[in-house]
Amino acid sequence: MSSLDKVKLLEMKNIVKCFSGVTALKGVDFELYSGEIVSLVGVNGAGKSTLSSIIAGIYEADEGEIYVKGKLQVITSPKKSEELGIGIVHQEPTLVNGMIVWENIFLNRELLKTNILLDRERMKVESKKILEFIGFDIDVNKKVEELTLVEKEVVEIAKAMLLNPQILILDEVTAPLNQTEVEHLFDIIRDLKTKGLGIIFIGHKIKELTQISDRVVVIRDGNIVGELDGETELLNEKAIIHPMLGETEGWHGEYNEKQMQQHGDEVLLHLDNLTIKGSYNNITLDVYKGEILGFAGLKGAGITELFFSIFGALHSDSGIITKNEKKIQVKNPNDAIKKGIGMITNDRQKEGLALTQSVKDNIVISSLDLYMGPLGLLKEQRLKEQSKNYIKKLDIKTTGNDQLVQFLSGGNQQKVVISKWLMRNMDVILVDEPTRGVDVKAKNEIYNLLIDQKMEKKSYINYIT
Amino acid sequence: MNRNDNELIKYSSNATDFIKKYLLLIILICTCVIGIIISPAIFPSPTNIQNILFSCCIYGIITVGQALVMLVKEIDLSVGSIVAFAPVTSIFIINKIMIAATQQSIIVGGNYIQASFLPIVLLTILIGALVGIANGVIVVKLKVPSLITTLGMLNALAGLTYLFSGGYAQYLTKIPNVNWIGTNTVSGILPVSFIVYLAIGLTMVWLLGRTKFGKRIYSTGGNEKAALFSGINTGKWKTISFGLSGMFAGVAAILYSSRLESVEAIQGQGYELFSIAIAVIGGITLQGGKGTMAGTILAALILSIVLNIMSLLGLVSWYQTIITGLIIVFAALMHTYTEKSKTKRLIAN
Amino acid sequence: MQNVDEITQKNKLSLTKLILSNNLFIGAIILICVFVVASILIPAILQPINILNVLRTNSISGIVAVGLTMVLIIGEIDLSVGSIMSMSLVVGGMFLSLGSIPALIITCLIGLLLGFINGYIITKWKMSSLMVTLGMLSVYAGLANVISNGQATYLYESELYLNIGKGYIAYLPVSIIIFLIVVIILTFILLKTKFGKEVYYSGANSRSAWLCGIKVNKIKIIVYMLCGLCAAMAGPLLASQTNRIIPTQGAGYELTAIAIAVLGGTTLDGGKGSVVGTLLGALTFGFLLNALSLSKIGTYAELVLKGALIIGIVILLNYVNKRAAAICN
Repeated sequence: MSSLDKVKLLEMKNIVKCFSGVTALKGVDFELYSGEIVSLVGVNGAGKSTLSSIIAGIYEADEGEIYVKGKLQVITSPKKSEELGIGIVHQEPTLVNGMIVWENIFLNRELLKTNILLDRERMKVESKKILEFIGFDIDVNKKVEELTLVEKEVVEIAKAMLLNPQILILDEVTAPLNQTEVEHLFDIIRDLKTKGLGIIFIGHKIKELTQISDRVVVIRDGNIVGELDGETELLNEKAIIHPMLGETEGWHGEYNEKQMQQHGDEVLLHLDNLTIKGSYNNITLDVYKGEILGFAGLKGAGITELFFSIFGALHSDSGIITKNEKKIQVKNPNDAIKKGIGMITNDRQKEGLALTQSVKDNIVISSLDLYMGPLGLLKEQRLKEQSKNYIKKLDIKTTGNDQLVQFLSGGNQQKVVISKWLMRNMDVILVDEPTRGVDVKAKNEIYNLLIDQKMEKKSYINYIT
Repeated sequence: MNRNDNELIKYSSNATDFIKKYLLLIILICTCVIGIIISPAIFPSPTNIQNILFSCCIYGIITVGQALVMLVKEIDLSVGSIVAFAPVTSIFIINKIMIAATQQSIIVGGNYIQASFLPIVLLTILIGALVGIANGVIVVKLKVPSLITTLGMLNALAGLTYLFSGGYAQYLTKIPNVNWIGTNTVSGILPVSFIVYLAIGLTMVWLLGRTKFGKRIYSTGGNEKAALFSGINTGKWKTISFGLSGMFAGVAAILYSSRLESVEAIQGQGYELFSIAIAVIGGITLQGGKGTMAGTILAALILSIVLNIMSLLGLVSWYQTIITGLIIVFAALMHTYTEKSKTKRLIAN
Repeated sequence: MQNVDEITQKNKLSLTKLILSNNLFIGAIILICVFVVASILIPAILQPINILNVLRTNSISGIVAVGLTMVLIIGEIDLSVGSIMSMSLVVGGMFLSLGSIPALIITCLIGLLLGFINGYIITKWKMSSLMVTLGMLSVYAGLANVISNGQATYLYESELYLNIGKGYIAYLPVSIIIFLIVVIILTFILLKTKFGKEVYYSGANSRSAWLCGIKVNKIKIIVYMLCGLCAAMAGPLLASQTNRIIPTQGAGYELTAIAIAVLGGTTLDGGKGSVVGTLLGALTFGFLLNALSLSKIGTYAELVLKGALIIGIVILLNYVNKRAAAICN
């Protein structure tokens, strides 16, 4: 593909930004040319969202200069940023479910006739045009809540494209998508690139980034610490991860191959023809004691639903679950736990923790019935000790038992969730994406943990992407 | 999913959509029929119809405001107390002004008001709007949940109403033309007040459906974060909704007092409940961003007819309270179920 | 090495942190301030008879409020508490002919029943507790009036009932004793039992709670039943003071209960709050109202005060929490 005359769309020099005493960006330089996709990578809190927010006008830089298409600009508000030809698709979904596609695309930018009346016809036509430009066919009259995840992302992009931006920022747009959907979206993004846009892609799935990017910019602790150019260097993951973490840390797990594959002879759990219409069909398998059973598949393949069924959070339409050779019926999570089945869900903030409660309360909450004394009183002292134990054992970075979990980082929050299940001593734990949104260091710690547990004859059913 | 399943789902959703669209109309017709059956002589008589339409317009106008507030995902429990507070306070203020200006009180011989109606009308509506805006500011700027704000306001206004009126009714019979808007009818059946209601209601239907205003309101209630991200000033629109709600309560107060030719210290008490019941019947829920104003107009008629039937049956007003309460719970239940079945269908897709 | 200055700074910071982040502490401070200011402005407040009166009256509102507090902690609301009070009173009153004690027992049972109905509807059909209890507020209030035909029932024939609100045990009015017992029992349950922990956790995140094995629906129903019971218990105490049962006895108590609970530091979001805080809230509320009536501003002002107070409390707590968050970060 021949390269067009590249125009420098964006140049940022020495950007500094502080938030109540914390310096989020410590003098960052950044460039974006037309017709290229640049990925911005870094661990949580490294500064990539801050940088993109400054470009989008959500924050104003404390120091430094921004040149848009060669002209010095001060981007004071999102509106100004729009005027300068910058569009952004945010991390959080910005679609109103009750409204339809064209209404969402034109939200707050409605076209009017005679100054008061909505010009519906024109908005529908324009919406169609934008979707055509993007290269995706969606019925503009459909309600947003009826769209698939990919379609929703496309509508978000259409919203951002409304004012014909030349610079497009995509912040974590692939997070909810499975691999095929990501491919689909990438085709669209590559197409936009050929149309001359400069695209800033923010994501944390390193593998994806190596597929889509022309250039990768690595940010750590408010500084740009690395830049990899796809045209000249081979983009491999380690080359990206190392500057992200600042140390040569990789997957350290060194285990005997044989040890990994060994497991007990007893079948712990047997699934027979489990089915939920529309989610999964006729699942039959065995889980052995002391085994880590891994599931591979795309999101939406039904794995989470299967896990929930085993855990009692969903009811399968048909099929039998057998544990220790006895048929069991798991009516709800409470039932599952009593039968020795636990589950680490993929959304720790919404499903795994109570953010406004303390670390201790979150760790002990599933084990309370094991620590009851006379009169139904809880053995507070023992509970406190146990909680402290797990904080130590899992190296959870917290000020103590009483700190509210909302103040912990993602990785540490996840460790709290894991502690909760370890404390209860389950026979089998279902693990659904335990390292989602967790930085690489904590990820490794968690993987090591699971393997240690397996060595202690616990069974795990994993789904890790 | 294969083609046939998709077609089937399309058809079945079309059928349920049809029923839903015309459900309110169907229920309205049913209630009329029931009314005629129960009391064939009285129910369809011009006087009775007038009564129905009048109470409908009072509840209905208040509901227009309540519906707006519920669409932005808030609630306004103070509307009932505004119906008493606004006129009482406006008379109080005008009285003080007149006394200061002319040394003469407008309150003569045992609570009769002698003044011209127009200033009272305007001030009442203004006071209603101001109370509404106050609600809005407290909810938006001071971040007090609307339940608490409007509940507190309800009590505060009730107390102030007593303070300003001494708890006594004030009679408006001496005011020229006071009952024009409240009692006049078109061809003996259609009260002018009802026309006022329809005007307000239909204007709001138009505003919500055809103008930017509607998009602001629905997006603020449907997904406030999304609306904010799109640059919409959701706080402003919430305040406007509260302001309109208060204002409409003031309008309802005028229509009410005009017909009764008096201002009672307890008028409007409990009307907030009616307004919520009507809104919920009409399809508007506390989730915000869902429901239509047109639905509430039909719902207002439905509730008024139901209440009318109850009084024709000789049931004491406490039965109305019971039925209204049951309607709120039942209608809310219906909405929860339709939402659930909708999501089930989506998941199956 | 930290020098002395840094250490004192740190200590000061943690003390302020403790004060600001603990709503209970704030509640206590408010109470003391109110009491001090009120007694300076209106010395009549300090008269023992007055204090006793305030305590007695507000113990009754307090009983309703602590029941409501539990509902708030679990993340729901109950606007029907006043109507539950009315209805349990009225139905219990129908059994006065059997004696005071049966009547009182029935009153309590009805409270449990009505609370159960609320909890069941809300959990079984996953409905908004605001909507449901708003509707039930009307239903129960209407039923109370319809069942009793709007008539009052006199208590002169029932000795025990007549005196329950006026009587004393060891120099303390019965209401206060009952209030204290309820507070102690509920605090104990909330802080020391599995049930209590699960209430707080469910209020903080009900989905997580369920996935942790907590039977959230069952707990919610129990909490609503306890709330109904508390509302019902307050009824006879009030009725005995006026010597009769009226079907509108509970009207307006939902606001008082919410005001007291919020004043005591319980939030509407769930997962936070305490029964002891509500006790402090009841006292504070009581003395504020008392100051007003003693200063002859008038009884209608009580309504105004209640309304303005509840709004003002939330504003104040919002501000305090904001400052606390700023300091602690």
